Amino acid sequence: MSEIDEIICTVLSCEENELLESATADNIAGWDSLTHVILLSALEEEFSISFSEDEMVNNNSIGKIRQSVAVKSGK
Amino acid sequence: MKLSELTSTVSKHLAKQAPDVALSEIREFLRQSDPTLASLSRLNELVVRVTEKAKTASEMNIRRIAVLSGNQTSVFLIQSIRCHLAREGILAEFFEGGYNGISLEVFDPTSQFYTFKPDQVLIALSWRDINAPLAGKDSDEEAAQTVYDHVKTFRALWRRIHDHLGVPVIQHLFDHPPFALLGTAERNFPGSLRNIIDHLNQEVVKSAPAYVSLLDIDFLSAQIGLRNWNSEKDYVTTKLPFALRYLNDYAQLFTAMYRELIAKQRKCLVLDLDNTLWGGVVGDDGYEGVEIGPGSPKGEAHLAFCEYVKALKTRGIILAINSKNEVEVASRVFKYREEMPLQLEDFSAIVCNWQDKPGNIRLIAKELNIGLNSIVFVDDNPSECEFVRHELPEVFTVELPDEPSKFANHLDQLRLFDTQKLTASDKNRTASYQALNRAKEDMENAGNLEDFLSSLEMKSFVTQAGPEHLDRMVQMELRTNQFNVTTRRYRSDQIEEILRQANAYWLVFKLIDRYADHGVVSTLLAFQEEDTLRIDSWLMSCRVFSRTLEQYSLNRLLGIAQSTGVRKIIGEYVETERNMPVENLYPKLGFQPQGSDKRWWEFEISESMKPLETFVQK
Repeated sequence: MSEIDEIICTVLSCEENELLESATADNIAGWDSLTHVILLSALEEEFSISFSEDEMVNNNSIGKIRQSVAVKSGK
Repeated sequence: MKLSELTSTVSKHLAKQAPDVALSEIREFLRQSDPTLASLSRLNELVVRVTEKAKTASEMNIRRIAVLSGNQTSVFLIQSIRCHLAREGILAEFFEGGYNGISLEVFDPTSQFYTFKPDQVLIALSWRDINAPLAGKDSDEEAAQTVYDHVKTFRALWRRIHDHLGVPVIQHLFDHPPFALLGTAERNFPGSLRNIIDHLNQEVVKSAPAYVSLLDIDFLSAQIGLRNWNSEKDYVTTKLPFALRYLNDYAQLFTAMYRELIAKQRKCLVLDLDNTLWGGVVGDDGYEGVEIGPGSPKGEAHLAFCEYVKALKTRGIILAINSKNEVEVASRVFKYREEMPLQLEDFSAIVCNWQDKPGNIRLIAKELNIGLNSIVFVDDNPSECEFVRHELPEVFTVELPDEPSKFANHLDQLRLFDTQKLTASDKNRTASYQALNRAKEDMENAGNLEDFLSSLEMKSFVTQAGPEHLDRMVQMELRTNQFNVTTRRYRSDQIEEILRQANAYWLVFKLIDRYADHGVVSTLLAFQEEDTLRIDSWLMSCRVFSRTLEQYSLNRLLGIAQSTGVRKIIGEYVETERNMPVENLYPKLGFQPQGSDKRWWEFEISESMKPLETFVQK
């Protein structure tokens, strides 16, 4: 599992096979407004990156989150 | 261990109805590292599950903490505090008050806050709760009024919580925003937000009654730096009043305070020597070769650490040495290196030998007559630290970082010795413990106990307790575990209440001997109930056990009894894990058992009786 996915699974309390590109808070039970903020903040911390307020809101699917982290961290 | 492994281990133990084992696994995990943002909610959930199970499947004590919030949400504070308390072996259930709902919860007697029945209340505030705009107030008068209004509200809140629940309150002091609109002018102008905050903090400190403890997030935020501490983004996304990544620092500060409130405060620092207090190994390098003091950065760094340790001693922390060394060789550094700020007299116990360190710590605990859980052990050697952690989990073991320049900060950040108030006894404590050790040596030389006790030339001053004793009484209630016959742990408000009762005699004993003024070392509370005096609480500092102060105290109580026509004195013993030393106190003093369970004892007073023999004089 990639480092990003591992963090996602930890914070959202879900399994790797739930991490579809299109998955959002509607498909993953542990994904609510609280864990959403924690997830993005944890990714900021782990990858030494920073999301803007807009990005905090708009990174609302697994695909967008993976892509945003990859672009910002160069990984 | 990985988080997923911890999760399955904990589940396994919970399925076996063993929440205590599950908790120790979590403690071990948390000792390796603080929760990260990624792991926080998982860990929180694990601790919640353990707590739920502990309620039904164990006799563990579960604390109840209510968190009332100003303009902030407390969910993350609670998660982090829950994990940090679990690391200390403390389980708690939490009540999360609504956003900006402090007054609503407190002034409505039917609110869920009261239904929850907390045993501890946390009032979480930040600078955003101050009723003043960023630009401050226009005039001095308005600024003063703002401060006054806030303090008035707090007093009303505290009083109300106190009257309804009688539980201790922890409240934040105010932190500062990261702005300085006009720079230095903000200091010049009394109405500036900066000055209002400083003034308000001072007033809150002055007005807080003994049952309110203040959590100094103002200082914490300054340590971290205001620009780091304040994160506008985290506030707008989470309504947490400070940056998420400082949750661990915050929870650590809270835990330090909570530990003091539930009487788990640390009071003794046990130190290694080589590469801890000085650089190098004195056995190899000689006293003249070890690095301490100016001359090298490393020497200066060790000097700074020794000065920090010395300052702790001045604040009443007991120091002890636990080192693999020859005592003669190690002593030379203290005696002959002028740069060394610590002196041998600063240490209440010195153990230099080649025995294992856990055994030595046991020895120190015994010599100083203190519990292992009040000891902090500091060493630079990871394997020694691991050994002590393994053998003595009650001791808090601090493994020093690689560079000596980081030692003082590292120790300080753990907030192990935090306390709300200093009493005069704190400052004299080391002298008193040293006197105790000198006295012990004399006892070995004197040969017989009577000669020894009479050579101490002990004098005691007894008075009825008054407001001037309150701080010390509260401290004794919190800290006295061994000589504590009923362990009622009266809080300051309860003490004040009892002192107002006409039938209460609360005696406070000071002790002076030829070695030291020990200050207030004992308190005895008795209630007159018709023709009996019932001893409800009796505490004595472990420094002065078995010196016949017990007999002296009872004589004083007999004096009261005879002058008020009381016929008998009732003693009560409530067994705890720690108060074995007083198990036979009452029979030794001549009390007769009432019933078979060791709890109630009776002392008949006759007119012809003589006082008990004691070596303590008036």
